[in-house]
Amino acid sequence: MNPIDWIVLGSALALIVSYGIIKTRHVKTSESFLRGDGNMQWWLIGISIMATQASAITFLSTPGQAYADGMSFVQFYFGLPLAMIILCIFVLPLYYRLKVYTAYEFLENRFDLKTRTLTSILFLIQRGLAAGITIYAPSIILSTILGWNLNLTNVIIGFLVILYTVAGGTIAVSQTQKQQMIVIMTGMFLAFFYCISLLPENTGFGDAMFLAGETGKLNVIDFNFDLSNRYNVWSGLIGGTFLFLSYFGTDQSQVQRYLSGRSLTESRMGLMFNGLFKIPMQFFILLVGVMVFIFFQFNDAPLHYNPANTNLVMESNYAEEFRALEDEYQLVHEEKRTLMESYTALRQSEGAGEGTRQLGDQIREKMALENEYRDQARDLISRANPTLDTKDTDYVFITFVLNYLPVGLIGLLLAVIFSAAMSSTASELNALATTSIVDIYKRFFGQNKTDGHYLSASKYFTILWGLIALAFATFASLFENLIQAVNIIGSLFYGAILGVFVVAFFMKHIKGKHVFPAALIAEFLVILIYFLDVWGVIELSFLWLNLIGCVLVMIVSQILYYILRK
Amino acid sequence: MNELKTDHLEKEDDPPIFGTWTKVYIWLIVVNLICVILFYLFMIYYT
Repeated sequence: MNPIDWIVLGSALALIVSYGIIKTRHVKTSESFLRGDGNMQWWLIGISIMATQASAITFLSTPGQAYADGMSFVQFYFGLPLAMIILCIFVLPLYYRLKVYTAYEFLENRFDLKTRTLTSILFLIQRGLAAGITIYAPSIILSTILGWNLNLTNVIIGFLVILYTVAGGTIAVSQTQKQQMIVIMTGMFLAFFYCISLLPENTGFGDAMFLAGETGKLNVIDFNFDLSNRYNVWSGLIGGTFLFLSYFGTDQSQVQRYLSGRSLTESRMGLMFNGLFKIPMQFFILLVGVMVFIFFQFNDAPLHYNPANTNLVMESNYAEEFRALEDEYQLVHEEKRTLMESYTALRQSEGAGEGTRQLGDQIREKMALENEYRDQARDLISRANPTLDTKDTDYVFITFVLNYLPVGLIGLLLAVIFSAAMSSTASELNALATTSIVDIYKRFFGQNKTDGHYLSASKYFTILWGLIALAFATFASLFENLIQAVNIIGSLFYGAILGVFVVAFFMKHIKGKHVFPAALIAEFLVILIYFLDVWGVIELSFLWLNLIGCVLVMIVSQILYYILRK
Repeated sequence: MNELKTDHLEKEDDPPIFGTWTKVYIWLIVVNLICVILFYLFMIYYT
């Protein structure tokens, strides 16, 4: 990497961290540390919410997803504005009225202590593991591509986050997220416009979009109701609303962001801000991915984007086969490039017609052939080493950044990835420390201590969770399918947590004596269902466990209500 | 810690559920609907 890129990356990170520390020198009370000074403005809350949700993997994976499957993923977010409105109407006023620090604190008020403790422990397990992955996921990609030491990359991200999160708590998290979002959006806009400028001379943005349309990448809206299709308007509106309600309403890493608002009005406006800008932002990130796709149609595109996998297969018995496949792929790629140039020229001179339609068909045929070669390459990699992850779409955007962006902009885009990783991790550590101190430590072990004691304890808990996340990120490389394992663990617990909150908000007659055993029974059944799937008795994607857990808590609570009433 | 300073919260004017905020919620839905329509037109135009 060029020294200028190192300077840009280093300066951006140093500025963000020092800004976070300097801006929060006044934090001297546990309330300031855990909930902010209560003077956060709506736009800062909105930015903070968006920065928390958008992790590094968002900016690495999403363009790659658009490269492979087009823009249909944007529909996943269609339920988000509805979720924001429901939260503003039902959840925020309640949290504010009860003056809670954590979402789980509300459950003691509504039910009892044991229900609060159960949900907070489930959150700590789930989010503690996720924080490790938030650090690990970008580190593995950056270390593979740049040859950096994986553990060192983990430690740098973790150390920087711990530094300012311990110094200023919630305020530091929000203040740095403002800078991080500026870096992220500036970097993404520059990458987008630079990508357009790299297209061939006679190909403009409009021509690129027509090509994207011909190759099926502009599948933004799909009104067909199809349960097997993951992304369509209906799955986004129904499934998305449900998912975002649980994430923004019950996950402390998000709840903490809007509870730091100056007032209920500011917090509501913060959620509205998120509801307004989230969909356009996701659309834009996907559009960047589509532009990168078009760019690679006119430039040399690797057969497989993960260089570690390619190197491995090249050192195996399958090297010859892989090389032959690469040659055939390049041949088809060249033919397709010529077809695309002809398509653009014809469209510019004569507009759409029979000629462009025929060329479009030929382009799609070549694309299908290319995809076949890419599948065969993945198959060879699997045969060379069956434990390898052959999905390479996460490496598409970073390959473009490192090989085609100018000096300086590469450093800025790496700062984007680091900033995104840090902003999510900081919120997670902050939420983990707050839940540990408010729901566990203060409630059971440290009542009636001085405020200084709680402030110190909060900082120690932040360091502790930071170290746990780092340790987990370090050991993550030892397990091949760890990310999936963490997602499964999350799905095992998330449903029950959400179920308890749904009962709390919408089933007013249910009490703690009903919901606590219901949550335990639901959790047991969810784990049982999961193992039935593992043992091959049933077939069920683990994502459904979220919904099953939630519905089970509601049903069992209601049954227990009828039984115990008699 | 719940006993700590929370005066700013006491002063909060909690609007009724379907009061002045209704307009904001409707605007949010309308703006997002316009976004979806624009996406749709964008898709139709270029495909």
